[in-house]
Amino acid sequence: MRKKLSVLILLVTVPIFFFMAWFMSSRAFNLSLEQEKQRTQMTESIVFREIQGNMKNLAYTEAAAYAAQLHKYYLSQGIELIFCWNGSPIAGAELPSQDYEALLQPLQRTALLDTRGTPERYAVAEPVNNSLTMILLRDMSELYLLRDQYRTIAFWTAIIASALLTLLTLLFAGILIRPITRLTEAARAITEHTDQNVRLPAGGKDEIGTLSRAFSEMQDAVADREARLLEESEARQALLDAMAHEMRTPLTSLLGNARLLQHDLPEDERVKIADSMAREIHRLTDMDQQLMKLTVLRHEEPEIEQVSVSGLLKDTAVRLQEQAKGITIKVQGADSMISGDPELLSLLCDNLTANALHVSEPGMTVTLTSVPGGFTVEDQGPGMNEEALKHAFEPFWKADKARTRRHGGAGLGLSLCMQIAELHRGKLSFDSAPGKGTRVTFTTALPAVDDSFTSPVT
Amino acid sequence: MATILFVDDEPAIRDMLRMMLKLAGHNGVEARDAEQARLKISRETPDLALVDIMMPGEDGFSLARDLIHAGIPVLFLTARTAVKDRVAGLRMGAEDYILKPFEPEELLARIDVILRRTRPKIYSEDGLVIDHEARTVTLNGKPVTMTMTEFDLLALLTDNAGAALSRDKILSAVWGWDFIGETRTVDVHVQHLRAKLGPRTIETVFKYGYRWTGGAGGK
Repeated sequence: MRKKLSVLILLVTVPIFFFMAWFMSSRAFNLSLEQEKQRTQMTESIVFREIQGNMKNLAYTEAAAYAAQLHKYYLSQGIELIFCWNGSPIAGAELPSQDYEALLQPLQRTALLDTRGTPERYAVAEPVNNSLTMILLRDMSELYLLRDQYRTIAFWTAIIASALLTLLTLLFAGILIRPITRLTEAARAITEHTDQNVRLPAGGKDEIGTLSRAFSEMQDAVADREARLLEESEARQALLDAMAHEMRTPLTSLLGNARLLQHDLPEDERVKIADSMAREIHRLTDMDQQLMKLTVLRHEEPEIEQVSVSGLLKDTAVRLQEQAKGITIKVQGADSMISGDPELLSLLCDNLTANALHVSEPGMTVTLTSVPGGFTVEDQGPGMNEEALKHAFEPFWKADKARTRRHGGAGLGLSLCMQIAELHRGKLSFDSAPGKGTRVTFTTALPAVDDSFTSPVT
Repeated sequence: MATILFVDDEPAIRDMLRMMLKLAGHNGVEARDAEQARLKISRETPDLALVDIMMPGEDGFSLARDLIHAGIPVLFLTARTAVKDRVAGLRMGAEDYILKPFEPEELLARIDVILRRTRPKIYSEDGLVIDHEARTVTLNGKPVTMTMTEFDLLALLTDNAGAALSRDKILSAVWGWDFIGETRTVDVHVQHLRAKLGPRTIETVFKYGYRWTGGAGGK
């Protein structure tokens, strides 16, 4: 990046600098050329005025002799003169004929004369009379030499300036790029998991600072998501471990019992073994069904409708009456409407009530109460201690295995209930103490619509 | 025949183990948790304990530590598959570790290995010396040749010296729990032993089985 930038700058600035230096030296040269031309013309008019009076009436021979004298005299003064008689030189240096033709045109009085391809001499011509013409020559080669020197200087200046600029660019680019380099390193560290806690300096208010902040925010978001994914996968792993563990118990008993049945056993023992095997198979089946429900719940959106809480509780009471076996199921409380998926809410209510029935003895009462935004399920069973409350929601956890076994529960009911509650943005809370029974309260956070005939306005 | 304590909170597993041990000719003592197990061992010291690790209340590791301390060999019986659990169990001094679900036959085989390993290596009584490690028997200094089955039968009888063992129990303990044969087989081998060791060493319990009465009784 830095290298590319410096090459680019070099490529762009060298021609620009060079062109500028060239342009400036050319302008300076043109200016001095003009000045020199004017000075030459002025010198010519002075010289012309001095000689005009003496020369204009001279005949060819006199004029030629006088011209030779004049030429000599002015040469000693640093001024080169040429005299022409009808287009032919009579004194001074010989010039190429095309130069004479050019100079002796009536309107053309001045010309830059080429020598070896470079204009080095400046000539100013002025007619003295009809035949005689004076030409003043001025050597300009020094000026051209100077111009070439200027150009060389301009070239080197351009190169040195470009090099300096490139050097400075590299230096400043380094300073500019440093936060980006740091960003790159941080990104790489995160990618390679070497250091998750690389933090970038807060940075200023410039673009780099903004980028740093955006990067930090992204880092936080990624870390958050990663933590959430880790948590999820840990929970899933825990569920899988628990499931594997939970499946081994019925499998152990099934395998052992199957082997036992291969022996010669009394009839009553065979019946007992077969019974036990059937129970364990039911347990596995139940576990499978509950797990299916859990999986489905995790992937499906609930269908939200208005549900009458009293209706929900009464339906549950009717459904579970058969299981109750001497336990009274009582429904109470003023009816209210809540938002929720009727099927899931029924499943939730059934599960909680079935749990309450499991821990109750004949003669006890399980009470289902409608409360604003939800319902409670209360039993008169043995209750749970703090330890049990802590574990109650873990998949496969059972407060009393022997008791749960009698009812064939897989220990997944409360996990299921928890999922349903979460899907309704609701809460399940437990209120329990050993010997005092348990009260479970479900409340949903989904807004209830009072009038079921108006659709919710958004 | 050995007295074996098994501790597991799952009734289904206990039912299965009870039947299995009975069929194998062992005397099973069951407990549903550590507390009950401690109560049971205070009354009767088992030859071996099968302990589940994950139990409500006190866990299997903690119970096993005390059992091992009391000199009772422990075999862990658990659904926990993690290698570190197995290593922890064995480091603690457990004899073996078996994962659920297991083949009953394998468990019984491992039980036998542990019982053989933990029993005194030499049994000696009135000139009769049984070396369990070398599997040799000498009577009054003279070696007695024996078949494998005869040796196992002798070991079973001397291990339970003084106790009456039914033919069924002997059959399953010596010939294996899945042996389908007649109890007459036991009688034949007892006759052989009597011939080699002297007639009065093994007493017949009428209509039931046999009992080791001890010593080289004969001459």
